[in-house]
Amino acid sequence: MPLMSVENLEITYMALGGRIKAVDGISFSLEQGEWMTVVGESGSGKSTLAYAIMRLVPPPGKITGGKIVFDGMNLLELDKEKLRKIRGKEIAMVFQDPMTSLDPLRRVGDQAAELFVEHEGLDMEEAKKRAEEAMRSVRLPQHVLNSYPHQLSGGQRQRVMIAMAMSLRPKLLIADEPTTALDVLVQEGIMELLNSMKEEGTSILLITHDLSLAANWSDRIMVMYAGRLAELGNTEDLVERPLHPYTKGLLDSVPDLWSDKEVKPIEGNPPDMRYPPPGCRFHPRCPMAMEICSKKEPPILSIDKRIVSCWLMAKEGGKA
Amino acid sequence: MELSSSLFGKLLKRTRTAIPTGAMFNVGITIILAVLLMAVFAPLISPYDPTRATPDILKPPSSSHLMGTNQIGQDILSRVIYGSRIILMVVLSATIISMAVGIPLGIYSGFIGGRADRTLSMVMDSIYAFPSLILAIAIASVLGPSPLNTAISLAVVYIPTYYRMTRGQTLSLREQLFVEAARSMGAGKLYIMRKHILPNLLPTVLVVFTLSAADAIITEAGLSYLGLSVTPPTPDWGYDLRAGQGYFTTGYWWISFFPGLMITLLALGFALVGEAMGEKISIASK
Amino acid sequence: MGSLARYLVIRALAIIPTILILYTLVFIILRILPGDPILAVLGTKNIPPDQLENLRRMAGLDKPLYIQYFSYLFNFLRGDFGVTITFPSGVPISTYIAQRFPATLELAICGFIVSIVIGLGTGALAAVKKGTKIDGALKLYSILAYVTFIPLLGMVLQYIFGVYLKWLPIAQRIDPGLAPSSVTGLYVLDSLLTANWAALRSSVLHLILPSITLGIVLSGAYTRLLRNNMVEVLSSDFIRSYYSRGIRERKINWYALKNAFLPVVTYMGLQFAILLGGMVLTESTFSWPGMGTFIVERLDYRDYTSIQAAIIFFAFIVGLISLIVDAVYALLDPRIRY
Ligand SMILES: Nc1ncnc2c1ncn2[C@@H]1O[C@H](COP(=O)(O)OP(=O)(O)OP(=O)(O)O)[C@@H](O)[C@H]1O
Ligand SMILES: [Mg+2]
Repeated sequence: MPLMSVENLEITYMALGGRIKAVDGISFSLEQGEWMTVVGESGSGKSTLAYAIMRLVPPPGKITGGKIVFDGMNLLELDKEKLRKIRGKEIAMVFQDPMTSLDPLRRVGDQAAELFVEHEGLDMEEAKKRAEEAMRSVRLPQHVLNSYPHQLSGGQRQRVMIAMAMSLRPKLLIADEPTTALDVLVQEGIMELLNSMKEEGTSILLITHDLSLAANWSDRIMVMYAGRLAELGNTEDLVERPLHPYTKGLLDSVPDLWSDKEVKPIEGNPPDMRYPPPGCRFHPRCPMAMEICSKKEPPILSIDKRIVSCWLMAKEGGKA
Repeated sequence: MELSSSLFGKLLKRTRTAIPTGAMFNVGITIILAVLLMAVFAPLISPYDPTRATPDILKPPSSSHLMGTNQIGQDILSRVIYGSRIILMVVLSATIISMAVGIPLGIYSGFIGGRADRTLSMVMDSIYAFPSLILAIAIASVLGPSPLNTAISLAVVYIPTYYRMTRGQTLSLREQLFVEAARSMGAGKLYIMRKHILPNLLPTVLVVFTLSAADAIITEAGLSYLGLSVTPPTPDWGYDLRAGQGYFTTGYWWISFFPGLMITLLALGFALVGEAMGEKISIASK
Repeated sequence: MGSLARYLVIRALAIIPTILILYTLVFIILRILPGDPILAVLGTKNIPPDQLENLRRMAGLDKPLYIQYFSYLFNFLRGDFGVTITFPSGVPISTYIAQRFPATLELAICGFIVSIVIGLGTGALAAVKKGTKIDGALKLYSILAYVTFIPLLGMVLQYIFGVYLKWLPIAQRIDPGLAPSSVTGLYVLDSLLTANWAALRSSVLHLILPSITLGIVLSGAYTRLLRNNMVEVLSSDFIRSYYSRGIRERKINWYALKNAFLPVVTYMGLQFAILLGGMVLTESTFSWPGMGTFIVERLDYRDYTSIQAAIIFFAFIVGLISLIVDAVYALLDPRIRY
């Protein structure tokens, strides 16, 4: 049984200008100890998906359909207290901006120690010791615990966030663009930390814009477009033999260090999510669009170990 | 002629964007209009002469005296109706003076900048930080008690409010593109200030006007409560409330209660309108 | 530590111009505007010329303006506020202020505490219940509180709790003859220090109604401000991050409150000025023997020098308060402290 399976998830923002289905019928599953990366352009619904798993979709957003089964429980049916006990302990999350993810008025040590008080019922002294350990595990000096967030660099703060996320050995870690705000050297270090967690059995769900980052670290990659799943597959297969024109487009838009192939960004922009185009949402930008693409939604096909949602594949005899 | 009519049209359009709908606004505007009508038609609607003393003293509210009578037999309802005149006149004329001084200074300060701006800001901020009622007492105490002097002291007290708001708005408007464009076409500074900045300030001025009017009503009532505005037998809410205070705790509550209620009600009217307009503007600017 | 001390020194230096501007402003209003302040204040009464001269000398008005400006300031800083010029004339104003200011301070502190407690409580509640009926009702409360005329509310409370229920005294600071021996001039503190329980009881009872009156009226602004800050804080990244770590909601709300409270502190300086204005009305309503009633009394006697001294005294107080507010802010916000 997979650690988590998401079925037909649908998340809607009831915004002033109309409803936005930010996540529209996404299904996938995640094995224990597996690293899956979600890629997609800005606005494709990646963060919304992550918040839904944490049950932290911000208002005016609502989960309007589907299931998230984690460790045998449907997360969408849990009450507040059960959820609280899962958050941080079973599922942890690291956010994009480390500069704003810590409470500016409290010492880092107090914020870290609190975790052990809340989840393991330790007293403050023991909790502090555990916090020290946690900082050591991400190679942060001990004085960090006595610092206020503004006294640390962005990289240090993100390490603090990861230390907290790691410290209770969660079964799943969600990292929403954890390194976008940091420079490249720091980024490598953070990825290595995630990898070490994976090696200890934690599943990783990484969200990023950066396809090369995804290709370097993950077992599987999921490509999202405008709230829908475009393609999902093993990293190697997907990078070397993309099935969806959008995946191809993304790969072509990444510069490659080893070959001097031309870098071609995908033309056009993602759709306005209030008025998504009919049929396949990618068809207005798709170089291989056919007549049917603008009329009917493409089926979700399983081909070998891959999932792809494209009429081209349907024509080639994939089975829905 | 044409210029003034187009400017007027522009002002009208800008004003309309600040007029909200909704219960808060409706209740507020109803209160304001009711008091305004009361003031205008006071001689027609008040049942008695508000200044005439009669032997009917300390009568509780009844059908012949809806709000009762005071310790010298004056009809409270009539005094409440006439009392609206002074407070409205004082507050409105004070506000007009504050605007006439504060807004141009604020535009100038925000648009020109430099040392003059810094000095002016500092002075205005200092006045702003000073308790307005105490400042008004200081001014009223040297000018002597009269409604005119109360208006003058209120005007001084509220200049910084308009100045600060206008200056802040001008600073941000100045950076906006259309001013840049106008400047590059060789428009003079005065022209830009009058033609581009002033009309854009209007919605905010309206909000600040209503909110500070609510404040000014309370301050005016405070001054006349302390005996710094009218002299008897002129009907005035603040003064009448004071005059009946000694009787209140012995059970003759109506002498002070109705004038006091009117003060709060009128201020509430302005505050509700101001709040509603402020919300509308902040939503529109999002 | 170094940076905190430096911050406070810089703030203290920045307060000086404010105080000077206010002093100058009051000086201009009182000395220059009316021409001859003594005549203006005394009105149209006929006064023999020699007596008028005498009054001018007592008020320090016989010297050139610029000398008056500086000598008054220096005397003021030394604690010499001049003498009264009308009945009872010749009394040092400093003796009045020494008597009256502690009364004002005591009531101001209590009113301030009441306003903060109500304001923070209602503001936090409104933020947590954002968009519900409770939020709407509290919004109406904040507007109503803001426009309530202090004497009206005071009188209604006096009638209910003093006259009808007979629970609380409605005037003065303390029952006659009970005043504790003076240490600080704050009766509650003094009766604690001298272990005078009768005085403590009486002074606390006397404080309740005026503090609540003042506190309610001032709380409206805090309700609004705190609600809006807290709504913003509650949607911020670090709060979401707290939730993602499974911290109890009550704790999270408390941390949000602390963060939402900080901007409120900066606003307190201004709010305290409003409080001092409200003090005058509250003191008048409750016959509270403080600075406000002092000004009103001396206005009746047309005692120009006393009014001048009291108002300039307020200017200094306003400056001092903004310094205290800055210090409190620095103590609460580690970004300034370190
Ligand atoms: N609070 C909100 N109210 C209304 N719409 C929202 C809100 N938050 C997100 N959306 C919409 O939901 C869609 C998905 O947003 P989301 O933040 O999940 O995208 P993302 O893939 O994480 O983008 P990015 O890469 O920029 O982080 C977007 O179209 C966005 O406009
Ligand atoms: Mg995102």
